[in-house]
Amino acid sequence: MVDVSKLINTKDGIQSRRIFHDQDIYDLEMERIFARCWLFLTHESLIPNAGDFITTKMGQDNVIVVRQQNGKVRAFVNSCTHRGARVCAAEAGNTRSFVCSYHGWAYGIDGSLQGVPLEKEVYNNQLDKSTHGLIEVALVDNFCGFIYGCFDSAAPSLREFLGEAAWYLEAWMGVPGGTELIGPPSRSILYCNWKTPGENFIGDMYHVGWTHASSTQVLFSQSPLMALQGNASLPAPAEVMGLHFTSRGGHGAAITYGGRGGLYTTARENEMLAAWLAAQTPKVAERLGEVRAKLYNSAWDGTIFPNNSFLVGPNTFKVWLPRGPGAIEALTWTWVEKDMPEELKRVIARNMNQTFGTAGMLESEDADNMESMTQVNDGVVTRRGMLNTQMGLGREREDAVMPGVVSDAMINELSHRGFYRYYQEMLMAENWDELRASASNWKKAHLER
Amino acid sequence: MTNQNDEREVTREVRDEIERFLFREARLIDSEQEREWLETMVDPEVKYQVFSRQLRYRKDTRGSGDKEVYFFDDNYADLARRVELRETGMQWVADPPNRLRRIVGNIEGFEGERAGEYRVYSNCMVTRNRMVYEQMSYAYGREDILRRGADGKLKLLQRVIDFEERFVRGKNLLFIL
Ligand code: FES
Ligand SMILES: [Fe+2]
Repeated sequence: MVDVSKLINTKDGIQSRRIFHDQDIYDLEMERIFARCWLFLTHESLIPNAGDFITTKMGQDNVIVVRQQNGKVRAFVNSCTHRGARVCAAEAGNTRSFVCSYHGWAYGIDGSLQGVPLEKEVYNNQLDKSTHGLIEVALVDNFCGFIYGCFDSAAPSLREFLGEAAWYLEAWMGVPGGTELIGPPSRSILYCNWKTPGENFIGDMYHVGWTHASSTQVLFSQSPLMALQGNASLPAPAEVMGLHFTSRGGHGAAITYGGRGGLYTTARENEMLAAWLAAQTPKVAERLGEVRAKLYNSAWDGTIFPNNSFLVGPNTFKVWLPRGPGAIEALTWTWVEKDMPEELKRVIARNMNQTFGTAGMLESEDADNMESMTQVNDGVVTRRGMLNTQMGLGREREDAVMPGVVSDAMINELSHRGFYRYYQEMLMAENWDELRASASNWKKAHLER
Repeated sequence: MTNQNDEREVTREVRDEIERFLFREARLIDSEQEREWLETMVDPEVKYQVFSRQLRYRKDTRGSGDKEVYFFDDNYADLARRVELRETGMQWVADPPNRLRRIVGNIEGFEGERAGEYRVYSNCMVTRNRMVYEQMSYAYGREDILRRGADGKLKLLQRVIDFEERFVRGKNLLFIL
């Protein structure tokens, strides 16, 4: 059995390299994280009508997410209860039923077994159809239109799971008019551990000027982020430029104040976005307050624990689906605000795909790092060591307005430490009751020195 | 695709010219001479698109939302930025250099809608070797429009690739297809 207590040390900000390599750790992650946490499924905007469905994975479990006649969204394991074959091979669409391709058992969009070929003749009418519905995902809910599912019926509500992070997420997901994803996603493989892109997106502003030295120079010449190029100096003190936050549930982000604009390739495109932001900001301030109106105008990179990442500015939305300790499938969408003019939506999607899509200029730069930091740990000596996330250690604080724990510098590793704090807790806890019991004093691990 | 009946095959000389164009293009791209490719073979009004289709059932016509995602939706300036990236000397993903090798085949040329334009189909097999251990391969079909420029030479005016591999096992498409 893995000794999880030795894998992570939150106070000192270090992690064992084995978390990127060992099969037994991976197996435990699947059981204790992916079978228990809320996981991103799809967005309301992608399945607006009754019978609309998408297929995806929760961990390595294949699921179908489908809108019911009554408008609710339910999710089911995509496997026939007869001999286990898949009941839906399409990625998305609209249907009245899911028919297994092996022997033809037919399920309703409510997951119930409706039709069995030759039922009378071959089962003598003795098959109990009522106990052979598709396995249902216990909980499905949405936050600002983003739909998540959870296999564990004892889990807290989605809102509670997001915890303090919900306050922050509303600053871009919950703006007046709402947001939507532009589908379908691009899908590609990366030979990395599923946590490596998650920890990169959760707050690694340190790599932007270096990993992306060429692309910041060529693509971001009109952005304040351009100043990071080459990691030689900062345009302003890091604490003036932005902050990190972490939350009870390990969700976190790096926020660069005022950095949302200027990231598109032409002046005209940047002006279009600037005009939109200028018009929306007063409405955001009215609904969410001045602090979040400032966050709305900021650039973000964040991760919703465990495997759902996003950027505000490039407007990327990602899921990292594990395929064993050393591989993932990356799913990528563009997110936009629903009320944006169609032309602006297209501009954002085009720029997103040029930077973070399958032919994305920044995406591929990140990929090499994710893969190498995974693969080097094949070496038995290499993986004996610990890795370091000590940046900003000792500068964490609580804020009067902003919930969770924050640290005033957007080049920081507070949110990484928060991610791995909760990661360790999830791996150690037997069940959600244990996690609830330890919830009240989570901040100590960051604040007490 | 254009209806076969509407397609007028190009003359043998033009067909040879198209083939020389595609082979030269392949050689320039595969030998890191993208700047030369861009400046001598690409029309300033180029439209360069690569997209991936979501897999849906044939009979399903009611499903919601977009059915394609565009990996590339580039104009000349966008392509120029991709070329510029390597020229910064700081594109670590291309250092040490990637090695590309492509086979271009199944070439067909037809008269285009406008005079001096040709509709060209070709298939491509590309292998990319990089970073000692990585080898990836890609197969796809291209539908191009070539246009004769003022200098009398053919230029790439449009390329559309309906990329078939839904789950990209070659990780990314960060090269000129
Ligand atoms: S396995 Fe599905 S009908 Fe037999
Ligand atoms: Fe990055």
